Amino acid sequence: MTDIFPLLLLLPLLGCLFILFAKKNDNNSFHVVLFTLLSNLAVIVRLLTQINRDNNDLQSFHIAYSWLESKGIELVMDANLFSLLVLLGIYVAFIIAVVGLTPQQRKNKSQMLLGLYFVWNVTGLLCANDMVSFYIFFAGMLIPLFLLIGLYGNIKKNSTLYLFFAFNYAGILCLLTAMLFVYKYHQGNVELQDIALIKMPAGAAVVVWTSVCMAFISRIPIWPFHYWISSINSGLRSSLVYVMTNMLPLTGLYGFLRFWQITIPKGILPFVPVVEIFGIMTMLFIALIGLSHKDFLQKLFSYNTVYYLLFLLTTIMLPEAYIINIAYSLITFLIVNSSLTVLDLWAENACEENNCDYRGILAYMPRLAVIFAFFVLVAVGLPLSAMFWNNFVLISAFFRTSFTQGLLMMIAICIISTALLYELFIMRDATNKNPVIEIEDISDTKVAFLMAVIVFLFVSFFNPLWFAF
Amino acid sequence: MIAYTTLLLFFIGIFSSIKVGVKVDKALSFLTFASLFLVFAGFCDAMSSPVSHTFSFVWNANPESTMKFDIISNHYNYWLIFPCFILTMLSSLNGLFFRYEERRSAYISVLIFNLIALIILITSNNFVQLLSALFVVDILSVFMIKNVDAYRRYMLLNILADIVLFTVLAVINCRVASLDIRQIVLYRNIGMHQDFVALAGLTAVFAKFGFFLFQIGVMDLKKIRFHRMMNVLFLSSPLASMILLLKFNALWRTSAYFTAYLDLVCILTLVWGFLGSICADNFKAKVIYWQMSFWALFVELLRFHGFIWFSGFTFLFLEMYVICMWLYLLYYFGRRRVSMRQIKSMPLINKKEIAYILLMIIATIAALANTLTILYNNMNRYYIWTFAALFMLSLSAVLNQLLLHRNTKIISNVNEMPVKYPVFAELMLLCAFLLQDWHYAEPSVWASAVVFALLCAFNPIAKMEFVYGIDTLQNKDIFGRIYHILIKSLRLCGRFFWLLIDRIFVEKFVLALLISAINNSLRFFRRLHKSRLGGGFVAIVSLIALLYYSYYQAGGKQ
Repeated sequence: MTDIFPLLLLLPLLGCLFILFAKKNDNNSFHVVLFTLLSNLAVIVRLLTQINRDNNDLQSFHIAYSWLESKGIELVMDANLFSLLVLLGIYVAFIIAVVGLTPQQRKNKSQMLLGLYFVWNVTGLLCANDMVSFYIFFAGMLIPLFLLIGLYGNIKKNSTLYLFFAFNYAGILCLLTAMLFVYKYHQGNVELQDIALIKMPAGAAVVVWTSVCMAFISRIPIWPFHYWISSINSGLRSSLVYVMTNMLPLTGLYGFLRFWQITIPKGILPFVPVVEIFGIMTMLFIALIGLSHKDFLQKLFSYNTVYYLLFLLTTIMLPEAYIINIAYSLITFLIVNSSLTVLDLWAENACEENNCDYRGILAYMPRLAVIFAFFVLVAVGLPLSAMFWNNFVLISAFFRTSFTQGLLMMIAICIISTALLYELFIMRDATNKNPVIEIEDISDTKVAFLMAVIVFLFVSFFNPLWFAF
Repeated sequence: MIAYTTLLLFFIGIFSSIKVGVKVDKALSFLTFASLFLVFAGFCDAMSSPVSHTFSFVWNANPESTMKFDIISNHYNYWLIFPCFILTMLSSLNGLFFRYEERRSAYISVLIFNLIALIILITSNNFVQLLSALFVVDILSVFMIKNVDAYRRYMLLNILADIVLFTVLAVINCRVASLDIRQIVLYRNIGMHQDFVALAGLTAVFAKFGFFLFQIGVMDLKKIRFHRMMNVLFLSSPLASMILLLKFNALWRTSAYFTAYLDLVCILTLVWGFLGSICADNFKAKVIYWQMSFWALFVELLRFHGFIWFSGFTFLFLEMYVICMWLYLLYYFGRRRVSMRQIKSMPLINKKEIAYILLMIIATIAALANTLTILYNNMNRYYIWTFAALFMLSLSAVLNQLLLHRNTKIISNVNEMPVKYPVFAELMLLCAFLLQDWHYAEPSVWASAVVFALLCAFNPIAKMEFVYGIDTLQNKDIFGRIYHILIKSLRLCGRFFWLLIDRIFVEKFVLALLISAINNSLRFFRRLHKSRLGGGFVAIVSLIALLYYSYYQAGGKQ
């Protein structure tokens, strides 16, 4: 069963090695990244076909490696249905982001290398089953991200960049603190599901769990921590870097999913309602900001935040049974997010090249317009993908828990949906269309690729795991 | 069996959507219509069968719940599908005779797919199937409208209504824990927030109908071609929302506010529709206003009959469609001018045809009155007749203006428009079908026809033509403005929050505080390292405090 599981972690590293020796200013590194991502996607699909979905077998693939035996550190990796599903979404999102790069960006070796290294870290994080390896990958993914944002982030204020780095470092330090405490009381590395079983004083437990929560919250754009991520996002014009930045909240969310589901000590339980209130208020607040922004990518960031917070609150407030619904929703969410980023960047590039107005740009590019509209409608949550049905289940469960909270969430979703639809109609507005200007629509290859993504999403509406037969 | 009909329709739709040349397109559209007619004949034959069938398959097995796709064939569903089918057929048939589509077969295929979506909506038994079908109807309306400017607000409102319905169904599902629509009876007994469910659900339905407060979407349809506008008004979201009302009324009626809210909106819609149909200069806008009033009347009649559909409603629906078709022909002979002032300035050349249309409108009005007489049942007849009287009054005023108060001095030398005899024949047959119960007609029905004819000749409201010249009245989009202000205030709110919280509070206060704290700490430690007496003293005190703390932490032993 586990024979191909190690490939999941090895292939991105091999890809990085290949890129290191690739020529500069060539498409070789781009091809290596694409090949690696596709190969790993095939591995994920293969693993999904082997998994037992009926009983939601959470320990299907497992490998362990003794690193420092004298210190009791054994690295344990495993993949369950949830992590494989999220990985599937991540890989498809990255493939879309890579395909969406401009010809110049594709030749950028460092961007390709760092991008693939980031993917390796995310893969590792989602497969890590012990505290040390979880920490390594959790911290490790920041290196390529910092470098890429520093190089291609187009950040106008240095203070924003420094604060982004400082803030994320603080998150890592929090997790490190928690890890050291755990190490002290357990006298060695520990598997994530066993952390709750470690006997430690009540005060220490509160420190551990508060640190863990702070580490993950630092990644999720919950108020007032959303500010840094949104500031960084506004300057990004590379689809790959944008998608990478948007994966950052996913790692925080995943952290919560792994830790929160185990058990929460009583010491921090009083803070849970605070997180819930802040989460819902941020959803409303960000949704309103999204409506007020004029840039589509800013709106998309607001949309991402609203949905990440929805998933976070699902993790905190709802029973573990809903974890699989989050996974199915996340697949669509990640793919749609990446696709919309790429499509918007294509539209913006077309505007810049042809010196035309962004308003009504889709009127010049009918094929792009249709595909764009499809993804916006999926994002809004209409019955076109697995997200619709799974969101329905999640929202229903929220209403069961608290009607007011569920209603506020739906209001936030409604506002952000209006923002996206409004922007779509602005982009399709043909009132000021200049008949003289002719803009080349997206190529047949790109259309074919995106149509494949659309089919993938649409069929998932009927059966979310249709590809794993 | 309805499932079999749906499958056949699906194949016809696929066949019709094949992209072909202009000449082949004509043949293809004829062939499509012929196939559609045959399927309709089979459907009518199956309608008489008393046996119920259920076609069902599991389309998504989930640990939470199993989703089924159901097509239930029973007498009730047949009668509900019947008017949708017949209207789709008539629209397809008219498409063959009027050269208003570049690709007729493609347009017919959109109508067929719309019909399939309506069938799935009508026969649905679970929330997911219902919402999916509803969404397909919305999307197909985009293809029917085919004008970005016209469908922008229409779609926005419809999608938001879909999201509201999604919320309502999620609330129901959270209590009932079932996706089965038939289980909503349980919610009625155990459910909480019934007022919210009723009011939100009704608001979504009103938005989809295009009722008062939500009419901006449907009003934009005046920018598209007449036949497309008619198809959207009769076969798209308004019809879908009526089906929703039929499915969920049992649930919503449990709220004490249901009747009041429904009545209020219907009356306001009727009044607004009446005023609009009198004041609007745009002929298409007038038709939209009449249609608004008609749907309001229809909903009220449904309420009086406990939201149970029967043949009377089918007749009423068809009668309104026929009236709109006659109005379309009037518009056609007015050379497709949309402004009332422009139509009036055209010479009346097709006199015979126009006289014939007028007669047929009177006949259809008589049929409408006859159906209303059947439908009024035991309820307050004055209430219904007020609705009908306002409709007759505004329609006759417009006919009066078009036919009697003419000003043809501006344009002359205009040729006759080609007469579409097959369309006339088709509408005549339909009128004959609608008048089949004529021998049961009461004197009031006869009186209605006579009064309408008289109103067409002498109508005091017809003299209010001056309103067509008031630009403020014609161009001012009050509700559009209100929505614009609403969105703008929300955007301003977002901007305000962004400035107040992000910029001022987080950036200028929290961050500044953080940076200042870091700088001060650095300065403090730097000063500690300098050879000053104060620095040395602080360092020694800190060290002693640390030692003291460590000593007691270790239990005072080390």
